[in-house]
Amino acid sequence: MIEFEKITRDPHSRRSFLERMSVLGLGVGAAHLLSGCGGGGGNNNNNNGGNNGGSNPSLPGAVSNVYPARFGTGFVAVLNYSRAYETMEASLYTQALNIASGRALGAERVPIAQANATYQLRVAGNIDRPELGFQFLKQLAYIEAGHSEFFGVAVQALGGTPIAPNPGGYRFPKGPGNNLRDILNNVLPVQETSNRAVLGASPDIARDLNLLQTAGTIFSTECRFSAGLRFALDDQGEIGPVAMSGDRQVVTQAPSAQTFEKFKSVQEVLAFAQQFMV
Amino acid sequence: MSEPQIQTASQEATTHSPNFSRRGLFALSAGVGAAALFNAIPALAAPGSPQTYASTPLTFNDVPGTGDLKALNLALALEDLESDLYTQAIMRLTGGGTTTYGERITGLNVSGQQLRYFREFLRVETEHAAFLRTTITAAGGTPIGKFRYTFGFGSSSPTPYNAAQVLNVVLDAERTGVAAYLAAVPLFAPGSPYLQTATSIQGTEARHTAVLFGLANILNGLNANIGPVPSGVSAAARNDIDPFGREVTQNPASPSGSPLLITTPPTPIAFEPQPDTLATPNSILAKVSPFIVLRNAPNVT
Repeated sequence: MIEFEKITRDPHSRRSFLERMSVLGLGVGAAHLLSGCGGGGGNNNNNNGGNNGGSNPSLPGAVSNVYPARFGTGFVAVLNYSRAYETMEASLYTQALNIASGRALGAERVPIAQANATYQLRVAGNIDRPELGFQFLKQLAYIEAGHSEFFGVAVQALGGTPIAPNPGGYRFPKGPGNNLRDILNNVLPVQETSNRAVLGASPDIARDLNLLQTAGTIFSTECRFSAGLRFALDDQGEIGPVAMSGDRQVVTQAPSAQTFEKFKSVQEVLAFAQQFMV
Repeated sequence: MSEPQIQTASQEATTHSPNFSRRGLFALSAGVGAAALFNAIPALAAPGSPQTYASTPLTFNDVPGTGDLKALNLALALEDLESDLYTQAIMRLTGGGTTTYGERITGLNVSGQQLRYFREFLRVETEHAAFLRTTITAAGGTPIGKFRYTFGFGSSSPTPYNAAQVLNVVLDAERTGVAAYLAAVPLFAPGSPYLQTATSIQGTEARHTAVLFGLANILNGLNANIGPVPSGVSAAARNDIDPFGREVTQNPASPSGSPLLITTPPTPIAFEPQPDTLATPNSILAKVSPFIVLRNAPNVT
């Protein structure tokens, strides 16, 4: 349970939180949260949060995002949306990691200090770089959990209530897979959609540049892991961005598919995520 | 004929180390002063002229424009550098060539995955630069001028970088590129329509970084110690901590921070899980300035 009050008032809890976030490279963002910075534009802004780019014909204009009421309003809604997706990812990737490690599907993620000793690749690799792919999977499970925690604290910092995990939990519709190739191929679209989710929501926090900058560091990580997974699966292949069904473009005419990252609207991401809800 | 073997970083650790800094570049030219180094390059303008060697670091004040356009120009400076870097890197790995500055690069004629990705990333960085240049111009701004660069791959250095070192420079450049986009965020107007596009470009740079890390790990051998850990370097002095308890340190022979990964076997090396350090525009420009050898010369287009 996130105890924002405890983090802000208890030096030990604060230090522990900042250290955990620093490990994920979110130390600056976390410090911002705890100093009261960020979230300066907390009004309901279910629009693109800024100019529509109409003055530049190459920029098609941001999509209008609609956040479900359960996420709250304004920046809180955006942060809870991010938290909801990260929470789902953390659960799914832990399940995938468990199967890849020969553990029970629903086994809880162990404390990070025990991760290397606990998680060892126990299924067939079937990919060029199984060690690399397994390492990415292991890191992803913890990083997404850390992102979820960060967004939860960010919500509390803005006076909101962090969105709870899906009551029934999460699962891959057909299971994570039986070998590392299948597992990573099931993880990949979830991961790629994470990139699209962050980029799609970014205009809605673009009036708070500190918050956007922190979100940018998370976005960077998500993109790295998307590429890393692709590289591990096929180190001669495409590392992305690769077009997915329903992708939106940030420019009207991109020279190639790899020039710009793609994005999706909130509605589109939530529709995609629905398949993983129990 | 057997292909030239790419020297592993473990073999290089005892020789010279690449790093993304002017000090590192001069370290390779041990004993050669700046003037002599410059004279080794065919000059397009008189030495000592303000239009020749960038004797002082580029600063944010030198970047044209204001607000959004200035931020886009900061990004463009990095994209231009990366585009030229990949061009030179490919020359070095293949049959060689002559840079736009006139520096001669001898080719190593190696093959491998690096080339495949270098070519793709060259194309993407060139597309980024063209997009930014067009966008700035369309908005009524002045794109930052195209500079000329040297990266230690050619005749400017008595010991041009080998393939592993080239990879490290490229990796560091891409990481710097990601950091530049993050550093640029506060420079935009809140709600700027360019932010989402700039962020989308940043994401592709992050992808490049991941792959380059993967290549570096493959090149240097998973489970291998690829650099000496100097005695006396405390944990507090190291920059990155892996969440799994391994320390990802910078090569101590590369004080500017070329990210040769160090780990303790048998744990596989993985790329750093951390997003990028939040740099500042001036720190970004200070980092790349040593590689700019020609600024604003009349015949630089």
